[in-house]
Amino acid sequence: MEQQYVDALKNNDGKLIKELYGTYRNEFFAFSKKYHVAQDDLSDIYQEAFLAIRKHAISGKLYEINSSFKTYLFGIGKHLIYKRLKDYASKQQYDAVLHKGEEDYEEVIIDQKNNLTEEQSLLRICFKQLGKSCQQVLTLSFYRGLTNEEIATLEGYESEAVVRSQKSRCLKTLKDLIKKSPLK
Amino acid sequence: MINEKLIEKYFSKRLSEDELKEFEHLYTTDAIFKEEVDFLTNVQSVSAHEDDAEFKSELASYESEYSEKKTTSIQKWLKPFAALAAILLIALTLNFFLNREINEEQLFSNYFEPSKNVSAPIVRSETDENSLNNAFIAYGETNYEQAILQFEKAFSETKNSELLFYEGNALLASGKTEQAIKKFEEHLMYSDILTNRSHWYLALAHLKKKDTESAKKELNALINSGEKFKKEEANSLLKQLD
Repeated sequence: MEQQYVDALKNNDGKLIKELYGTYRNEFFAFSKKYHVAQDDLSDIYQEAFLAIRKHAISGKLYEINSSFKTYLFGIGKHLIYKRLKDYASKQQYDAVLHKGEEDYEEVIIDQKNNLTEEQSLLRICFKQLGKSCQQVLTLSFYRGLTNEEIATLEGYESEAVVRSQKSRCLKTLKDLIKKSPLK
Repeated sequence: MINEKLIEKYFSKRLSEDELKEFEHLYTTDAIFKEEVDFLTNVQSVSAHEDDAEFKSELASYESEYSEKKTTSIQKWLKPFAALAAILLIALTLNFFLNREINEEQLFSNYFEPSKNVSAPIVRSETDENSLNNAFIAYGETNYEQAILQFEKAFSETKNSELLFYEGNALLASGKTEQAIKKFEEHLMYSDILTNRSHWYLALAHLKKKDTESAKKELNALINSGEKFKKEEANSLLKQLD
């Protein structure tokens, strides 16, 4: 896959992501309509597909993918469309199977588990009480998988050591917040 | 002391094979290490959750730019159409009212014909200069302006209510519709052989004023009065007004 796109997704390069979003939007909407996706759901599915491809970029999975960004994006999109059609079918009589076997993009199966455990929900409340810079450092370290060195460069910290101490301070605050939480 | 470097490498997926083995060993044997890693894994999930939500709202903001563009372009397209629609609407409304005017005017002139003089035979004589005679002469000659004045004078002299009926006719024929209405209404307060006929002329006068409801009322009054005068016409006109 195009390296610069993967990097853009991984590093949250807003400018390039916005450009990508615009490049494939109309084609994706037309593609979804072919499967009779409701008008109101078009942008939601497109955004979900972008979100999923970004997750794969962050997890490093995209580096192993040989197909182009577009093929992969539309493959994820196809998976999300099928899922949505199944939702429609459960609400009304709708034969989603009719559309199986369309020969356009190969479906890319993704697992979306968005639900947080109870423990994580409590953590989330405390996480949101942290300062913005703490949230950012923790997100970059644990979700985006950046090293302290990389964070220092990206966020303009003086050194890797500053990031390290900042990170441990943030984690300590977070743990204290959990301990003090009345919800615990 | 927890091996921070090892944990950092684990989350940035940079553990070498040996380091991975060490990591797994510590995770299964060192409870404090495991607790820390589990905690950080939760931090990972939570920050992912938050970061994804932020990313999605970022995408939604891109999308809203497209939607806004779409609506503005629709508005641009809509403007000439809206203007066209407005013009059409005005034209249709005007046409409707003009048509109505023509219809009522048409109906009035279709049906209106000043009543014949059925009351007083005219005596043409150079010496008989009474207003009544003069009034009917002028009326017969369709000299309504003159007739109105003479009927007025004759009525004040004779108090013959039938004269009000002819004066009303003269007024209506000369386009003084409102005055005609007043005159016919005055005539209706009397009871003479022409009284019920005033309903017919009142109806026509109201019709000319585009007051179809009042016109219908007068037509019904005429029909229900048992008066034979213009009964058929009244019925057919009533149908056309409904």
